[in-house]
Amino acid sequence: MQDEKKLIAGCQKGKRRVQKQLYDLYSKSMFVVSLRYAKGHLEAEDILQEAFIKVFEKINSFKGECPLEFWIKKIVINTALNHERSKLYQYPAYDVMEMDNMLPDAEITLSNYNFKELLAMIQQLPERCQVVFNLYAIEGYQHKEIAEMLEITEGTSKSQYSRAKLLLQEMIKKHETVQ
Amino acid sequence: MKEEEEEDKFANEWRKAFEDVEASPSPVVWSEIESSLNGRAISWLKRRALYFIIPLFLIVESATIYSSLYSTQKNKGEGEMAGIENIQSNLSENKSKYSGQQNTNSSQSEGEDGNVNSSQSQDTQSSDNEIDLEKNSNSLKKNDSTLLNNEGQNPPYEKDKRLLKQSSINKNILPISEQENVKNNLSNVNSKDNQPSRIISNIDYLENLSWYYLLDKPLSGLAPDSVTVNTESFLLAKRGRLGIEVMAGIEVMDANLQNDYDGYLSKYLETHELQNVDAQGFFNGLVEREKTKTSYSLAARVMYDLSSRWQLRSGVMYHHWQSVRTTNALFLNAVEDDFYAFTNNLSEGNIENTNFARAITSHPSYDSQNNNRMSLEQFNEGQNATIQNTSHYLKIPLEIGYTFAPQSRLSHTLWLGASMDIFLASRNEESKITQNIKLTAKNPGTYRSISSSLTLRWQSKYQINKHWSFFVEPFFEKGLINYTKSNTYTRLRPQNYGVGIGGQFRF
Repeated sequence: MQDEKKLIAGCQKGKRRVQKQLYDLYSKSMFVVSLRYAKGHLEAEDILQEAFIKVFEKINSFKGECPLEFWIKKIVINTALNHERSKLYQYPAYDVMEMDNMLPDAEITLSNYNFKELLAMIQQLPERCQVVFNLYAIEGYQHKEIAEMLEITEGTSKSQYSRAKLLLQEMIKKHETVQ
Repeated sequence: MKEEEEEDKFANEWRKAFEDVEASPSPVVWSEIESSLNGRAISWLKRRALYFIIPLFLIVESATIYSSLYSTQKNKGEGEMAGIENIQSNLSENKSKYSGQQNTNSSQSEGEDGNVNSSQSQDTQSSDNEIDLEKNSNSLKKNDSTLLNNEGQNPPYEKDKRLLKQSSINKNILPISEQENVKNNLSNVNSKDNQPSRIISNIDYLENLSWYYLLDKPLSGLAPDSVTVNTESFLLAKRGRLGIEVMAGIEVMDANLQNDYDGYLSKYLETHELQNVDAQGFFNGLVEREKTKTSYSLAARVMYDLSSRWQLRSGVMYHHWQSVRTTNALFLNAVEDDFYAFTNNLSEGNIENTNFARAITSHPSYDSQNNNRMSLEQFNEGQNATIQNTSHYLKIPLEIGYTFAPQSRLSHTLWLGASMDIFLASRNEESKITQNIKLTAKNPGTYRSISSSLTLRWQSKYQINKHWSFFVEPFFEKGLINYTKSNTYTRLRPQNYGVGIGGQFRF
């Protein structure tokens, strides 16, 4: 905690060495976040780079009201959303009732999969589904919050999540069949 | 309710799967962040500096070019300007001639007082006479000043300027029409001021003025007393035709590398008799980025003046180029032990390498029953490569240059030419690949060992003395021919730009 305060103070003074320390501390976990929102490695790196530049520029406004990691993560997510905003509206939203009828009942377990395999599955989702799935399933936002963030209706958010869920279940099923 | 619980379970599974997972971004990300932060920190200064530097540069450039043109125009007489040497010798002759005349007059006038030895001849050039001349000159200046002020005429240096014009007439500097005008004007002046010592004074001043005249200095506002002779400047005009120079430069090189992956794939499939593989659009998701890095160059050149403005130049230049390329092309999850199979450098040499074949055939989506469903997403699983390239080249340029303001200390030359580029060596490094790629001039891989470039340079030179000068030279070079062997699919047409500084010696 004390170290974190030192890091923040150093970054606020613009010390490059301290900024590098902060980057080294959080870049790996934040890279996973950006990978989940991106379609590939390079795009994820672009998001990460953009996000950390924002972090260093806005570090003076950080008042310690939340943990630093959470604050940085929020910046990474916002950057990813802005990055993808233009793509988000290219895909049609499915009707929630229609999707509900398509949902399989089978339970799934992901313990047999490694991180890369799961990441590949998420990255194969259509953009809007990918974003909603990340925000709802992994970040833990509610559909109402997601709707506000993405400027969509709550119903659209739910339908996108359902579609993502369906597609992921299909992928898992297919993968298990191959194996 | 059941549905919500199920959703929570599904979400929880995924949440748990991504808990505490970490992945390392490429080192390029931090360097990009750092350079961006550095850029922003100095951007404030840069922006403000530009406000001053750009106008200052434009003013200096305009002034030198204008003064060059002004000088040329002034120096053109009926046909051509007289040689500098002629002006110098004529001025000296006139000076001695009028000195003699002044001495005679002086001896006559002073002889009346009986104080001066009348044996001082017209040809005498002793230092005593010079001192006398100065005295007379000064006293006359005073008289002139009084006289002119009383008569409401032009200040002395206006007359001197007229005399300068007469001097110019003698040397055919001015056009005939202008000469006639000046002669008419001067006849009045000479009749009124028929005093040789005054003419000597004016010739001294004219001589001084002539330096300014030759060296592109403005005439207006110069009082005779403030003028000094700059003999060194005269020497500058007599510099040798042949010169040598050395230059060191920093530059940015953009390789413009293009890989025709479809070509490689087709060739591969053909070689291995693989059919029904959907090669169409196979590389649609290709993302390649090339980041240029600061490189450097060294040059040794010889130049020869064809005329006062046109020059030829040749020599040898060494270029050390660096670049970083990131690509997601052809990274295959091939074998468990050897995660990456780097096949980006496909060429005739390694197209037979079974690595690529093994990668394709071992891929889960590969179907030996001719029912391939391979796609780019399956091939490139979010992985990429960062390849550091270092190349060494020699260039032998042949350039022609046109010089602006050739007779002033600060001159500018525009050089245009072509160069023969000789590939010396290259090295590609990728951290994930143990076997890095080294190319040499004898074995240049997919590249030609000799190519050519177009060169454009702007040399701003300051002449220190007759022999030495230093210069700053921004430049741009672009490859004219691709660095590619005819039967390969990798094209390289580098272009580089930068700035060099150096010194020049004239024989």
